[in-house]
Amino acid sequence: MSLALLSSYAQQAGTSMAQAMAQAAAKGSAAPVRNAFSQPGGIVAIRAAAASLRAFVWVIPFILIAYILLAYVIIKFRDKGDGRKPATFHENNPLEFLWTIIPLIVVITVALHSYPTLTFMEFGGNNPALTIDVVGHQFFWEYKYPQYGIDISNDTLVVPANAVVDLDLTSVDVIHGFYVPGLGIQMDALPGRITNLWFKAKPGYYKGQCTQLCGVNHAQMLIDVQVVPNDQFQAWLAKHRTQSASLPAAPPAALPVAPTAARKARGKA
Amino acid sequence: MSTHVATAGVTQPRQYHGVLDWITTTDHKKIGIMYIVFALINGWLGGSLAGLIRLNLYNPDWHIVSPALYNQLMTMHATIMIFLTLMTAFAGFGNYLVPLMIGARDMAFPKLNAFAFWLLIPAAMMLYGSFFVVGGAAADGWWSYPPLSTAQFSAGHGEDLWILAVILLGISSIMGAINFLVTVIDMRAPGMNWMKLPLFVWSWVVTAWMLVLAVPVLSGALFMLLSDRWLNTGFYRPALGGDPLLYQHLFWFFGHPEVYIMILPGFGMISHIIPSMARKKLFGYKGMVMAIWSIGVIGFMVWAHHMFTAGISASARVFFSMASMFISVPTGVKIYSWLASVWGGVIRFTTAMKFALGFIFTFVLGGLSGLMLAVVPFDILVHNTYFVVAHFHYVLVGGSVMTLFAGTYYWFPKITGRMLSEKLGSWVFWLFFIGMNWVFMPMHLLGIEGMARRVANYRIEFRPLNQFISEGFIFMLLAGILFTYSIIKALREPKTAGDDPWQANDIELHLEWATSSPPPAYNFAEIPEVD
Amino acid sequence: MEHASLASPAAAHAGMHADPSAHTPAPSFWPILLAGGMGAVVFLVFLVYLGVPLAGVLLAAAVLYTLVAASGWANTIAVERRHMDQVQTNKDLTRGFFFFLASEGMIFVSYFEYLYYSRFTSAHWPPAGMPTLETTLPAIATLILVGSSFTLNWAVHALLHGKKTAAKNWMLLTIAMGITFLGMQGFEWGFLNGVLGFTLTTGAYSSAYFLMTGFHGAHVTVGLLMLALVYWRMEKGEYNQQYHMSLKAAEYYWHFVDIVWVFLFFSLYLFQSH
Ligand code: HEM
Ligand SMILES: [Cu+2]
Ligand SMILES: [Cu+2]
Repeated sequence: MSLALLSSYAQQAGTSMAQAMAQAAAKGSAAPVRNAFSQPGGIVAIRAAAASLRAFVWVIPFILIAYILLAYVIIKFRDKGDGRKPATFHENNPLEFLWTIIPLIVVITVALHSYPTLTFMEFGGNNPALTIDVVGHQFFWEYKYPQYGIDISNDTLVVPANAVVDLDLTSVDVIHGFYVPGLGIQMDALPGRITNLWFKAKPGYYKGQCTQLCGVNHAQMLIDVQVVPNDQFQAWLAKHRTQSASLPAAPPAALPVAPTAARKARGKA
Repeated sequence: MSTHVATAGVTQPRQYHGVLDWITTTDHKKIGIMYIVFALINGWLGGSLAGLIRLNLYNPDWHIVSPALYNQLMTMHATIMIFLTLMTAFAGFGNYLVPLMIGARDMAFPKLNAFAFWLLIPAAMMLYGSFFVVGGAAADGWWSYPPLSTAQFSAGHGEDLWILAVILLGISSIMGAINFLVTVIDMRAPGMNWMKLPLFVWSWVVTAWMLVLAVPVLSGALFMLLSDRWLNTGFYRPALGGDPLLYQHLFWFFGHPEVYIMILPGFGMISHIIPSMARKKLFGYKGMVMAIWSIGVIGFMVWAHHMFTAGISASARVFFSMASMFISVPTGVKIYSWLASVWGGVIRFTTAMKFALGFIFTFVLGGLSGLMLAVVPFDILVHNTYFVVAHFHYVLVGGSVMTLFAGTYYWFPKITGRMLSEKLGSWVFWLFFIGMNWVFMPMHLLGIEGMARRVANYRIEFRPLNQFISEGFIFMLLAGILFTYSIIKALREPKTAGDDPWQANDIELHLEWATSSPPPAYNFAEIPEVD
Repeated sequence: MEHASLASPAAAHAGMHADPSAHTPAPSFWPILLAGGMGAVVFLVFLVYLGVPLAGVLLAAAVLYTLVAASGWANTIAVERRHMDQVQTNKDLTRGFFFFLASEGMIFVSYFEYLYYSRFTSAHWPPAGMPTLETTLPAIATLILVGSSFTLNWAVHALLHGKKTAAKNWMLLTIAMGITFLGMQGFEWGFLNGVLGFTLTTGAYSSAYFLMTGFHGAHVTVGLLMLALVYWRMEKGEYNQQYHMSLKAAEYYWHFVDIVWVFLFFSLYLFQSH
């Protein structure tokens, strides 16, 4: 089988399996809960899961070859007490060359194969409909919607469906990890730095959690994301804007760098 | 068995007896034994912490231990297993075997050798003692990332003691490594040229190089961390223009070579055991040596694959993903060469061989999950989840620990003159092998389902798998008990092993089997000549 | 392992030609004593940091004890080596020392990595609010330190040609140059600290500056101690054409310290803006 054929097969297998999974997950209810990347809830998650499956398809033969060989030698070359003499060969240059060069080609292929997805995950989120500043705290997340003057803490992150949502992450204390597998996203939130993520999701509930050990209550630092159709999102915005307005202005968390400026700098770099 | 008459010449060095003998010894074999015993004890202590961790995770919201204590247990488990168990166990076998294998009477610097060992004791005392200081032991993971590990967020002094102890342990490893390098370069028996060097020795040469080059970088990083804590410097403090990400780069520049430091000597052991038990020469000696070296070199160029989600640039992600892919090629070469070594052989399924073949089984899986993790989109999905925990336990428990079991069963007769019970050994193997896969295989799934690592508590939907895993721990515990019992039992038996109980030298010459078991203090009555 | 076999299989085993145990290393108390001392020093540093009363005194005692243990060890080795193959042990020690320097070098590499990483990730260099360092004095200090590498070379050269007086004089000059360098560094530190208010805690950049120069200064100090010891042994006439291992070690160490400084000078002083 040629390499190209193999790889296109792998690509198809990966994408279709991921889509099948997504459909299965979506069938359950109108707004399914998606906790894992095996239930991808949007293009980023689907592409990431598909890339993973593609890589896995490449890896399977290596597992199989090794295990079949292992089983074979164990069964075939047991000491059966029949006085068989062991073989004496201990070198075979062509063979050794092959089992170096073929895996090398395969792993290069696997790596190259994942780069388009990587690029997409990194740079694919152009013209975001919404930008949210995510600020890690010991031990909760704060979400700011600078476009709407909303600032919520320790609450569900609500975003519109099927729109590019851009997250700028930072932290006011230690490093946290923003991880929502159903959305296919994970990125650390570091103090003194802005890191960036984007996603575009189907409606649903998504669960995640902090993945960077951040102290005593690290395990309680959960993430809930609710992706809603645009009309519901507008209603949510309206409700929260009035709430925010009626509240006394909370002291702004000390952000060392202005997110937008940093984003510009990152775009340049 | 042959007898050795130690003539009482005038030049005979002064000897002490009993405890003083062990305290003053400069004999690489005794030092090796002390390292191995030290490792076994710490394996038990570190393993008990793992037991507590698994107990706590049996049910969500159980809180057998407080979350604060959980973080301490988790941190100390890793530190003990890495620095006090695996590294010292391999250093022990290295000390015992390398001079024997190259036909030398001792290491190049026997006193330095003893010094490196004794330095472990104050370090271990500081680590264990730190549980009892205010605030408890270090609780920031074995990476000890700032800012969490700075004084502002970890005010307790466990962290200080941890840093100091790890720096001491680093000095000890560097001293040991220098000793290995000089020993192998200068003290090989006549005729033992580089391309006749046994693979265990080769693997220690590369390991020692990695230690010499990698450990100081950790010391440097920790020194800056300590100075941030004590002197209020700004290395990793954003408010002063410092950068926590820099610590991660320095740490993993050490950290990735470190993981290979913990497996290469094990690779070396397997390369002795498999040929000897399959009664066939090792396949592809040259390729094996090249593979070890390329792992040693590429190992220094992949560190940021631990930082794919830390906000490094896209080009860095691409580079480190590719480099990590490359490193699995020489690893694969080793696997294939071992399989080819068995091919056509006549296998004796001794316990050592079972562990060696079991090692291949688990290591293939661990290596390939590593390959998966080097695929950045996948790593983003599972980084810092239990999938990573599964990966590194497959390579460290299924890899390094299994090689240590294999090595113990293989060389125990040489070291003590006694055989370990093969009947018990079979039990040890199956209990451990089943337990190990039982515990760590489902962790892949937990990771894929999205359970983060280093958590004292978890969502209810992860409960079934967690309970299943915790139950499997019992098998590993039983294996540990049987193994320890089997060692104690064997030590009470007469020394009947003979010089070469596995007939290893019928296949190809290995000098350690050419002297008596246990070897005399001077190893060889006359320095052997190899040709 | 293709053709490895034992030249005379019996010899490895049961030969009784000479007393083989003569070759086994002698037992020694020094390793455990020194390890205990080092552990105690590290632990007492911690207690001093905690402000435990008397910890300082104990620390001083522990340091003294460690030094005594180290010199006791060194002395044992010197005595033992008289009965051993000089060429071989010299080779071993030199190699071991080389690997030691390699690992020392890696500590500096970690600091350089820190420095260059910060440099290439920050918008300004030196970072905003940090002074641009004055170069003239450090340049002179650099010349002096680099010069001292040459004078040391001449000292060794002279000794190997039997010119003991010349060797001692060059050695003295080397030491003097080293002390001058340290003095100039001290002056520089005082100036930065006192006049410019550029201290260890001003910012990450100043922390790096003081750590790197301080760590290097500590190495210069150790190097000077080694040179002083060597000088003392020269005075006692302990070196000759064959027997000068410690001289060589001190020489390598000094060159190492110099080379590191050249990198430091270029990185910290010479190319400051980008
Ligand atoms: C065969 C090639 C290997 C590759 C490509 C590989 C790749 C990786 C990657 C990408 C990670 C980071 C995962 C993450 O944090 O998201 C990782 C973690 C790790 N690997 Fe491997 N690995 C390989 C073999 C090994 C071996 C042989 C060992 C040790 C014996 C090892 C020990 C570890 C450890 C201890 C960690 C986790 C460290 C931590 O996060 O605490 N790996 N590996
Ligand atoms: Cu957190
Ligand atoms: Cu790694």
